Amino acid sequence: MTPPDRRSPPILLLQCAAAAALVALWAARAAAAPSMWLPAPLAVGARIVKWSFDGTFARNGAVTVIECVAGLVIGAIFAVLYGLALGYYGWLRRAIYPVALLCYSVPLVALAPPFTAVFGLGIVSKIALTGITAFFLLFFNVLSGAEAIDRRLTAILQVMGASDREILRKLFLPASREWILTGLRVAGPFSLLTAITAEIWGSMAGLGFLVKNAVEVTDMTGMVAVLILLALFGVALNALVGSLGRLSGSGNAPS
Amino acid sequence: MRQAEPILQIENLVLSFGTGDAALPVLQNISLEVQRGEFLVLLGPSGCGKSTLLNLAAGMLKPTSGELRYAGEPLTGVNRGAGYLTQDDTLLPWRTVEGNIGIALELKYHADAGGRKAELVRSYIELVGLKGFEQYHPARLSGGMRKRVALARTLIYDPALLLMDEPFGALDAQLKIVMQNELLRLWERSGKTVVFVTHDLAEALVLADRVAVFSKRPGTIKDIVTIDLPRPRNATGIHGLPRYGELYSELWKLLEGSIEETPVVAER
Repeated sequence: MTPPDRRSPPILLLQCAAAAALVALWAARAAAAPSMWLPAPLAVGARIVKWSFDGTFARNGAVTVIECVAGLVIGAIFAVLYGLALGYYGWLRRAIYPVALLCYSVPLVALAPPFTAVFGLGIVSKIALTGITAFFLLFFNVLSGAEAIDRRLTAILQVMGASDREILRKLFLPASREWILTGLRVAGPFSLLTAITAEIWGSMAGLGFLVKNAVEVTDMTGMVAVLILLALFGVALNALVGSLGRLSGSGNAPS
Repeated sequence: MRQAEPILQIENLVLSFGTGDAALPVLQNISLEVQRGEFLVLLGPSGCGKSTLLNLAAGMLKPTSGELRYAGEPLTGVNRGAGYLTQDDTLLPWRTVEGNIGIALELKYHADAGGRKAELVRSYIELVGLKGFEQYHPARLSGGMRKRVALARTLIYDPALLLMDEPFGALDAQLKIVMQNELLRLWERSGKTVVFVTHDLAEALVLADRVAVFSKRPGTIKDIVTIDLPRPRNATGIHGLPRYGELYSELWKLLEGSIEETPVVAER
């Protein structure tokens, strides 16, 4: 127990003050030089309320959430399967790793246009992009995890009569748990980034679609409203993937 | 007590890592017979290849030339008649004491053998003196307790041949003695064959029926010394025997020439 520091005011108060100062600065600038490029905070606030109640945010937000979550789940499943298999079978790793590295070296957002062309304007092209991003981010993590496993453990289990499948299931999968979670924590924010990028490139719904639409009709109020929502989205997504480890329970937890 | 056929036969075994000019000879012309029920210690300086020989006996490595036979049959692939105990901790950190000891049964019988598994696990936990710690994870156990778990995990599936690679090397001196006594007690009852690797001369004398002394790399067997000290032995009571002193000097003379600072090359 540390005694409270009497000289500094409560930290929450300071944080609120910092946020208020930012909004005040924004309001002052908007009031001093009114411009269509810098909407006033009040107008943005009103738009957030309006879009919250007329279903605009709900409808488009749901699309983006589905794209992120579906991409993360699908990408993660393949990443774990391939990561563990390559970690276990050295010959497979040597054969495939350079190719994987080459594929990963493509900036993945550059795939947005071709994916949109191939899979259309709907959510499939977005899930494909978030999925492939999540796959690569997790794959290299899982592979590192599998490679870090002590080979003597593998040997001991083999001597005990374990089949390859049993070694993967009883040793590699649980041993890579932390690496999988770390991969998910990294891949979470990236899935939002790629989903929004793909939506801006071409889509019919989603928060990225709202951004693009607002800019096209020079509705800066709407655009800032979506950006604020996206910031909150990012925070929520980070909190969600950050809590994954705790949700599934720590394997080393004392019982 | 001993049967005619050795459990492990090694003939003219050679092992090199790499090929051609870059080949690094690790073991040279090793011939050795391990009798059923015997306690054989491989003694030698670090990096002499004695752990590598254990890996060969476990079937984890293939010899460059020569032959290995387990129970009369040439060894191809992993030696499933063996149990392997290493110096480092090789417990699964996410499993409890119970789960770690039970894993061998899960693998060997590929299913829970009814209530028999739980019962067996319980009896082995008692055997190594860990009653009350069933639900602990390895991180909460001391070094000696983790060793006991590893020992129980190896004994529970009843391998005829126990391969031990400096299992007590990381323990402090007192704990080492406790564990040596424990191992002697378990071995004397079980009738199992043990091949035990160590660089600790005193440990070799306490445990062994025979000690194979290795030269430095490339490893060859310099001599095999029979340790004719009475059994049952006790790691604390044996040092006073006159014969102990004689054997100690004999082993030391064999070892002396091999000891020299050499860079350690990974034995794996």
